[in-house]
Amino acid sequence: MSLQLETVGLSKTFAHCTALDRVSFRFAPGRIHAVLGENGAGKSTLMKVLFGLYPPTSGEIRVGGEKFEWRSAREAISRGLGMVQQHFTLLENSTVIDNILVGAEVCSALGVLRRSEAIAQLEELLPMRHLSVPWDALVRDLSIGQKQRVEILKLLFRQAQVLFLDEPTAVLTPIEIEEFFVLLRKLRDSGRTIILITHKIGEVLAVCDTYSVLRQGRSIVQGEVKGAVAAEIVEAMIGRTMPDFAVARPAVHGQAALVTRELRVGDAHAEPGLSLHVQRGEIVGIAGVEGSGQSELVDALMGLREFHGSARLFDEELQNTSQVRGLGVALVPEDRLAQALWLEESCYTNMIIGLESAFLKHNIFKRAAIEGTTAAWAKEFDVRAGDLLAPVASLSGGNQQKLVFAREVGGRAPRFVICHQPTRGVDLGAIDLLHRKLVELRNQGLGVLLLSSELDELLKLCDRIYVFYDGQVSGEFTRAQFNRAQIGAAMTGVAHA
Amino acid sequence: MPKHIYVTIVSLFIGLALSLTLATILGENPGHVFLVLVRGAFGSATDVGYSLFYATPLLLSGLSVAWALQAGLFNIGADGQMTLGGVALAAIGILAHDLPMLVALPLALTLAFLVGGGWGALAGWMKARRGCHEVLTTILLNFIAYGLASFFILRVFKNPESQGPETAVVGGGFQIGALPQWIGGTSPANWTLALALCLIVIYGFIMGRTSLGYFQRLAGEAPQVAARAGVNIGRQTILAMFISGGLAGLAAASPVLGFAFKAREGFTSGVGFIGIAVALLGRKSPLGIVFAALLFGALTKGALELDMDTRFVSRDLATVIQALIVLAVASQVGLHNLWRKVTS
Amino acid sequence: MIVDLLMSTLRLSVPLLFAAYGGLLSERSGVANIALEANLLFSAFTAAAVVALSGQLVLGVAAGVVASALVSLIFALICIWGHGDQIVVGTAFNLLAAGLIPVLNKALFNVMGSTPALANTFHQTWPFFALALCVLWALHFLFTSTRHGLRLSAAGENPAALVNQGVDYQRVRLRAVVEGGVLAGVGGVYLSLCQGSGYVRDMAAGRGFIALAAVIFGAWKPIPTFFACLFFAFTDAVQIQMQGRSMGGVELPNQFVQILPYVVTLLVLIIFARQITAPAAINDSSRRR
Repeated sequence: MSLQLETVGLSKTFAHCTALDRVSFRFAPGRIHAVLGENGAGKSTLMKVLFGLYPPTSGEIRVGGEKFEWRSAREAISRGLGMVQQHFTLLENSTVIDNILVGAEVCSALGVLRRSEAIAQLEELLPMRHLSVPWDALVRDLSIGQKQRVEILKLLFRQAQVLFLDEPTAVLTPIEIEEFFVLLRKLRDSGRTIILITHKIGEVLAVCDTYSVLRQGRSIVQGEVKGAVAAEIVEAMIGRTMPDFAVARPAVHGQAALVTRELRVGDAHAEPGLSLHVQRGEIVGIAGVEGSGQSELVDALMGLREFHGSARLFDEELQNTSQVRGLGVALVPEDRLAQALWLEESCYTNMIIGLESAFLKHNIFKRAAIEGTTAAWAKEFDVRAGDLLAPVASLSGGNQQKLVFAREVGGRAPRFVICHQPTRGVDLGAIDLLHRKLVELRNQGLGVLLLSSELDELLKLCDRIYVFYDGQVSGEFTRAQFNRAQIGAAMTGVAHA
Repeated sequence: MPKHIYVTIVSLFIGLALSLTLATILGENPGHVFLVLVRGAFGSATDVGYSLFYATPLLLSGLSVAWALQAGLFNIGADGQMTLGGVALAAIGILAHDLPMLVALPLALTLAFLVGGGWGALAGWMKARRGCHEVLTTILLNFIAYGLASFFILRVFKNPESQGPETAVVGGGFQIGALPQWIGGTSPANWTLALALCLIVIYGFIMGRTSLGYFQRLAGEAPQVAARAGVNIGRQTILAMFISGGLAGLAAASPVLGFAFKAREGFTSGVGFIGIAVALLGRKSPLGIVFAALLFGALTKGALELDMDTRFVSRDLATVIQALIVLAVASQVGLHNLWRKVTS
Repeated sequence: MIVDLLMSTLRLSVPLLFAAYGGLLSERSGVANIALEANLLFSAFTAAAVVALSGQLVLGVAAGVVASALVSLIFALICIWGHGDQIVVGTAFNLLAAGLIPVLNKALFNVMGSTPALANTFHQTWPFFALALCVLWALHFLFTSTRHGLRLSAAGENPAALVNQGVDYQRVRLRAVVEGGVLAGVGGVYLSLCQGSGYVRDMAAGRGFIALAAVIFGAWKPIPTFFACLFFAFTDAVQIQMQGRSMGGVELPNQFVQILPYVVTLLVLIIFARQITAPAAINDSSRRR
């Protein structure tokens, strides 16, 4: 059974915006298709509509030439569709086999599970031995790569013929990505249709057969990867050519800003701990798969978590958040919506969080001063909000992130900047602006600590990169030593001398 | 008309309609029940005065719950905090019997605020430092507060001349005067009402304009953001529960110092719980709290007449109506979806 | 005296156990249930009222359980399809119990507060306790080996895992809450038809909340929850034995003795709450995204 999937003039409108606008694509069986687009171009919405999680507003979906109207994900599954979302939908405290079974249980008439029967079915189903995972292991003990395999096994167990994969490589190390591509090719060769949602051109060229570009909800182009030029695809994605990122980076000789010695968060016995240093006038990157200890490091430095060992900033031992902030630290946190923004409040209010004392007189807020000052910051950082009195939740991801920068960098006049995944969910225009700002800050003699799972971003901006693996430093590279393969190896724990 | 006013009106209507349906099923004429409620609440100046009298502690307990809600906390313990506040009022009124009013009242009210606040802060501490959910701890603290209050009322400050479970009478300087007749008739409505209204105005100002309110709301609505800005969340939690508990403690002023002049066992009559309904119906806003408290006060007074003027229902119908209104408010999203489905 | 204490513990544990089982099912599926107290009160009242009117014990049991299931059904519908905050809705249900039961009581018996005392009640605790043991085994089996148990845990931990499989997790929750209501209903029936003889105003006396604390103390797992209930029942038994006794010549005020179960529950929470994680998706209908 192989299925051709087709969308004809598919549209989806939400209350305030059109997410998909007459999208027409065709996905042939036995091939790997890339769906490309910027953040907010409508990729995820397209996938959810195809999978039956949202009903389309107009247009149709054809499977094998026949028109289908999905009513629910259940029906999509029974038609042979399967989806792996960017954020895994696994039960962390359950076993692998229970995760595979949930929703498609093998059980007796009374609802008693027959796990061994299910395992037998699975093992029969798997011609590819390297897909197998320990069935009785708890999911929370698995590596990210293994978790992804569990998600794919879920689809195969349900006989999926069309597989949707949303940004599947974002969480993998370079080596895991290679293994993953081998798996994808095998699945393709078994006649399945694979639809890869991504924004990475390199991946498209490496593994895909066709590419389809979405921009602002519209289908721009669909074509064969063979013979395509990367620059053209990018142009189709963003609607213009990207300017070159050429910002001068003169050598700045600064003293030490941040120095940590054998810093250990949580597990006090995890030797040897993190010994890092960041000079003034230097952007230091932390590379590594997500969950390798980055969040713990940021939390420790910000005084949000207790740690063992020492962390000194400008020769002062870090103790608690207000002291850290008092030393002049700006923070662009990882989870913008939960950690950086007060969603119920206006843009104005969001720009004074942490800076309140400047706008208070006898503990009462001076509204005029707030509005005047923050409007200037918003302008400097190109925050495009129709009205700064509007709730910050109504801004796009890029504008929200620029607002966070405006507050942390523009408002604070910091001496040290910690940036964690600063460009996640941000459009390319905003990324360019934020990257330029970071280099400017470096050139002004600030120390910058940049944590990112996008290796390209680090290679572009950093003077030096530490690689994290399993909560430890597995490699350190200066700009002259930057080497994608070696950094990739270090991300999987292969120590770099 | 703003959407939330619409929601409020619909919720009131649903709560009342369901309760009157219930009364009909039990054998009453719904029109008669409704008329008894309205006449009971507004029939005469004295009736209105009683409605105000019942609204007074509701204003304060509603304010107490609303303050905690602003800081992201659900204080179900207002009733226990109010109980202990009332015992403190009676205790100081008995121990310092002869103090003049100018000293006595500020002293007593401060003490009630501190005692209620301390009881609330205990739950705040358990949440902030020990990770216990405030809903469960405040409920358990209520039961403990009732036990302690009973001990103080029956064993320590017992009225020797009375058979009832009540304390001795407080000194004259501690007794809050009744409102003038042209407002409250001959009802026990007293000047605590003015105090409550003042506090609600101050509450609006604090939440809207000052750093205290700002940090309380920031810690409640965006705790992770607040923590990263250097706000001590635990301290904000304890402070919020202290103020919330203190306001609940003040809610005892009207029944204890304005009416009975002593603390009786169970004098709160569940006012702390109905405060939750007041805060939710009033959507934490000052005007909303005033509206909801006046409404529920009138409802309480009107329902008292049900005991006499109907055969099958009792004053507890007021509580039923209040609960149903809260349920209607809580399910507004679902009701809205249902409405759209029906109309389209 | 030790034997007395243990027997008394078993007797007092029954309503806690059934209420906690109800809370366990509901909370594991992702619905925070502080309406358990209302479940106990409604079922205790209904059972007593039906027995008072019909004289049939079996009819009373059935009516009590059905009443509790109905309460849970409405609670779940408002939480799930009304998108109500589970804590707010639970609080409103407790308020409703405080108002509706006296109103019904007056309409049926023309008295305030209590139903008439019943001549016809259960005299034996052990069938209820045996049932509680059976249910414990059933719950353990449910969570470890059945489809419903698996889906129920998924609904409480990561509903998206069900959504992606086309399973309506809200239906799973609805079923779990109603099943929990049935179990809690048995606890309520026991209160008015076995432990007491008739319904007395507020006779649950916070047992619904203590049961909830037991669920937390038991880390949302059946067997530890069972032992937590026994522990809380034991403190209640101690409390009853201590009433009116003097210690070292000094009489302890009854009020201090009576609050013992609540104090112990609080202390247990203070000591252990940190180490226990709740189902991840609990009360998610109203949480900020």
